[in-house]
Amino acid sequence: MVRMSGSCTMEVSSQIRHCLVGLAQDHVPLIIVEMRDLDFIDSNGLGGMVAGHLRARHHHGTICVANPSAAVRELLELTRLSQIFPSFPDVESALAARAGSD
Amino acid sequence: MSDAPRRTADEPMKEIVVRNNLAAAKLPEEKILADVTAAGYGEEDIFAIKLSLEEAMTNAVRHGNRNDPTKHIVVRYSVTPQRTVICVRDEGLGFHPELVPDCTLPEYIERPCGRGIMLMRAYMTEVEYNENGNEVRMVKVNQR
Repeated sequence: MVRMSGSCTMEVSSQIRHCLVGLAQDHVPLIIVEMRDLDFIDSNGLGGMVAGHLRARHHHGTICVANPSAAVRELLELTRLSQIFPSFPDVESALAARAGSD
Repeated sequence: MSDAPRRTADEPMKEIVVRNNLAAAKLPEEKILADVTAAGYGEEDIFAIKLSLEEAMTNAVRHGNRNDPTKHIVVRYSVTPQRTVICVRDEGLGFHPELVPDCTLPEYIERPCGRGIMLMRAYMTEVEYNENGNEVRMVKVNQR
């Protein structure tokens, strides 16, 4: 699980990319991005997540998000990234969904 | 002579000039958001302004000024209880915003970049570029 909190702005987007791509390259099958305390994310942060998604897919892994705020959820919907990042109300739901699909 | 589009006159604007790097680009954001908060904008509008400013500054740093540390970005802004106007100008050659692909199309969704302009247009009341494409003017009408 990766927990994002506070304000994810342009200066930290490279950290997101580095973290998610690194986990994907380690063949982590399911990466849950916990967003309960995430107040803000911009397209740089979203781009970092997409980079992680592409690497995860290459290694047959998945990235999903848990507990996004209404503002972040709207952002994911507007950009259609909700189509590639399944969203769950909490980490437990994400794990349960994964267990159900195994 | 300014090549900005003709429009209703903006309120008197403050100006901040910053060096072309992501850290320096935070200064205008901090000042503008402080004014917006003091003017009584709601959370959603503050989010919208912050997001759009981040996108505009990122575009200026990376694309307009091509990450050249010797270049600068000029930010002009005015904040009233009715509306906020922000202009971001880089020293680049400009571009054609209408040629930027729609990032929500299936063939572009998985691109790591290309969402900034779409988000600016979605969250701000008005977004327009000058003829050269090296200055963007954004307006947010207070929804409260």
